[in-house]
Amino acid sequence: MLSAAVVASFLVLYPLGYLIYGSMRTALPGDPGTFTLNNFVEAFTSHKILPTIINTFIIMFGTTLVSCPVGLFLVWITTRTDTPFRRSLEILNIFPFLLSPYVAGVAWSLLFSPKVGLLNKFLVNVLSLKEAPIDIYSIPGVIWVLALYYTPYMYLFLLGSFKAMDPGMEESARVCGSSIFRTTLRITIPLAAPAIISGCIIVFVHCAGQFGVPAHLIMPKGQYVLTTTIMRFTQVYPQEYSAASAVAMFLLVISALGILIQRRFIQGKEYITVTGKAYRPGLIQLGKWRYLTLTINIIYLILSIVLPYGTLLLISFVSFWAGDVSPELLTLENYRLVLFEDEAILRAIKNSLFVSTVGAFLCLLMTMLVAYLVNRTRIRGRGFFDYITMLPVGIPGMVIAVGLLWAWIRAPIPIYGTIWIIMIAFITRYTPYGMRAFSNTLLQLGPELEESARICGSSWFKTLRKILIPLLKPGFMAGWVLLFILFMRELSTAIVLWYSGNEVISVQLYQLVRDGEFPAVAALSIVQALIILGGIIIFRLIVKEEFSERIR
Amino acid sequence: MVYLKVFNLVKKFDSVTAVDNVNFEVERGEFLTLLGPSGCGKTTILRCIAGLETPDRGDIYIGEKLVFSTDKDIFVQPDKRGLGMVFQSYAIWPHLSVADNIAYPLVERRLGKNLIRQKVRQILEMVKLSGLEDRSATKLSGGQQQRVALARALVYDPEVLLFDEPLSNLDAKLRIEMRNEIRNLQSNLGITSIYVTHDQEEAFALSDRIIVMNEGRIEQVGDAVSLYFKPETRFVSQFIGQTNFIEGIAESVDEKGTHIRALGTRIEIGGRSEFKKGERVFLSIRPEYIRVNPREKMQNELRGRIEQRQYLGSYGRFYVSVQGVPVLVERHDITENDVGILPEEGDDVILGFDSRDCLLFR
Repeated sequence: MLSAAVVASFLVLYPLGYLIYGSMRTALPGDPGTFTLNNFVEAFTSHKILPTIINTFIIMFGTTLVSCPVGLFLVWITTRTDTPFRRSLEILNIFPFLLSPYVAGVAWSLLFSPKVGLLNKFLVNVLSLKEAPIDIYSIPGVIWVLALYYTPYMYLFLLGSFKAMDPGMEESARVCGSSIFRTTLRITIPLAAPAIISGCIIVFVHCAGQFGVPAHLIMPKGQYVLTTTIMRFTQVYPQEYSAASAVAMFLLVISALGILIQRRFIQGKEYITVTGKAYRPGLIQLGKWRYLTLTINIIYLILSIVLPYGTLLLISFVSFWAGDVSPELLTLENYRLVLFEDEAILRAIKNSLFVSTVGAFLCLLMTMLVAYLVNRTRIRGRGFFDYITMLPVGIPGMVIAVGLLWAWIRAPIPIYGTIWIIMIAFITRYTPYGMRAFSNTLLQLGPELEESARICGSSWFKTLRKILIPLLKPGFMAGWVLLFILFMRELSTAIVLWYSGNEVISVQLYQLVRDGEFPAVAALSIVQALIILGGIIIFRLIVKEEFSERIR
Repeated sequence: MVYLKVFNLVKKFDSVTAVDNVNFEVERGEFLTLLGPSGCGKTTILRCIAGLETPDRGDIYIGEKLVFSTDKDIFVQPDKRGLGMVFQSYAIWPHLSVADNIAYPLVERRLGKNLIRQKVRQILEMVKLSGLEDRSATKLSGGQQQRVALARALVYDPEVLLFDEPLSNLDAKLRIEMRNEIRNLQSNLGITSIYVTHDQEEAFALSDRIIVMNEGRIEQVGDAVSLYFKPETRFVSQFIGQTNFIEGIAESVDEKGTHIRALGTRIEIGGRSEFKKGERVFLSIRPEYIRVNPREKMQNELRGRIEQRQYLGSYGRFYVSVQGVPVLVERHDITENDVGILPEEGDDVILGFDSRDCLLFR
């Protein structure tokens, strides 16, 4: 157990240490060099850095401003009103969280590219316009796509507090003379305010670490954000790893500050509105308005799932893409290519399945032991382990990746360039998800169950095997599927660490997009989405609970 | 004068009928309690009156006003019904101070600032919370939160006050204290009140009239005395207080009374005679009406063996087995001298009881 905790801490601290070290060195680790602050000076005086920072902040603000109100509204619809099908909507609204924003960004560009975008062309024809009405290759385009996929973040963040809220809080306001509208305004929203604001901060900070969408939509035009700048420093010859680390450090500081503010804010303000004996929640009767709320929710699902993935599905069946879909272009060739022919793609699918299955398993094994150590033993330093393993929540994937790059690029063990470094990066990044799953389960179970087994005469090991492991098994299975899905779509860490031979699906997609192979991109995206969907179905079959309970 | 009227009320949750055709009236100024086990529909009725639940059928009048009717398609929103309600969970808003919690209904009624301040001060005095105006509502104890909830429900002088098991989250001592205060406030203000509880003692202590409910239906309506001494159904006789049920067969039914055969003997029952000869019946006899080894001969006597004896302070309990059937007997007014001569576990005893204390149910 202790060794698991040490491993977990090592995984988190080692790359971070190297990141700081590397950001202040003149040369690669192992090579002769001196300490310097020049990297920061260089990175931040390069002529493009100011617009880069401005772009990053515009995207952070824009995405937060759009996704948070929408997320809040969707939570309200599904948990507080009598909107038809609210139970199904509650589950469906989480699906976009599990999809890759990058893939969706690509899909939206297929719809709204100024020259060949399907919907742009349609609009030009129907409205007889001179030029395309929407250019998705722009900062508003990035905000639009990111907002769609950060909405479920906000949604998940709020779902718990809304579902746990004592309905009496609102009902008493109703009896006291408030209309539905006034009650929502004066009671529901203020009660959820701590969760709302901290959700906004989390979304705001998290956006800064987004790589795929800005890379696809604005990098080609020469507009950069912090993550794409890091990627440029590490991937474009001549590589400037030190400057990349300096920018990564900056990104890390933004995230750390955000998390710190969020923690400060939430302290002592978490309204305890949960009661032991809550009555069946009373839902707000919307009358005929409930069809409006239903429509709004369905529109969100269409925009985030149906439209982008429908487009991908369509384009996955055409032989070549120039903005037209006609019957003579239809083919199954792309799937043949993706599933049977192209060696690099096949390797990527295999790599992805391997990393997602084995990596997720190892991550959970590690976090299970650490969570047990933190929650059940009195070993000194358990608070430290708890803190360290939760740390990656606030660290953008790219920052971890840059740290790992530094750590392993010249290390005696040949890990750099293999599938293992990708796996290590994914495990590090998603350690907090595993921790949270087990900590919650352990807290809910209470130590009495184990203690009574010990008193009944079981040895510690037997208690673990007979009591604890069966109890933790559902949590383990659920966590495994969830991490499998998250690993499956992860791009930003992999993009820094990939090397010919260790590509995963997301990296392969990135390459194919760069080469303009959109039908193949579409087919591979559909394959990826089907694998993710398979994960969700397995989850629903083996775990008798909602996905949302796990992700939070 | 009838003030509140519930007529043919039906409420279903999916396939479960929570309230099954319930009718009752509440007089102006009356304290009426809905009493029953959990799931009997009492809270649902209260919530239907408040407008927090939409009934499937029925009419509800508050004063002269029809606030709900399926026939006339009327549903008055809860905020327009002018009621006060105290919730089981208190439902004190944690983001507001004590004073703001209480002022809330007044603010919603657009009263002037000075008037609001004055009214809040008055009501705080009434519920003995003066000086806690600016306290965060979450920093209060359970009893204090309950007082805030009460103050908030009373502050705008509602015509009807609804209580949804308001004391069930308090400890036993505080529960009695609050119960007395609620009753005092209610009778001083003369406010029409409907109170929901599963606690018989609470219902007895508070109410002018009690409606006993079971499985969505009204079992019996009456005051505490009639419910205890004249239960009309088997359910009421066991739910109110304690009782023993002894299964038997009606043997003879005539003007003098009824005789049944049970536990191998003939038992005489006073009064009631609507049973048919040979019918299966249940005899209900309360533990305190049964004597252990009575000095003089009683109308009915059973032979049994004491399985367990418990001394509980002011009274004692005997668990007696009569031909394998458990019979509970209570003896009150035990003095210190009595303890030595009480029968012990394993002793064979005679249990005696009078026919006038017997009740028969189907």
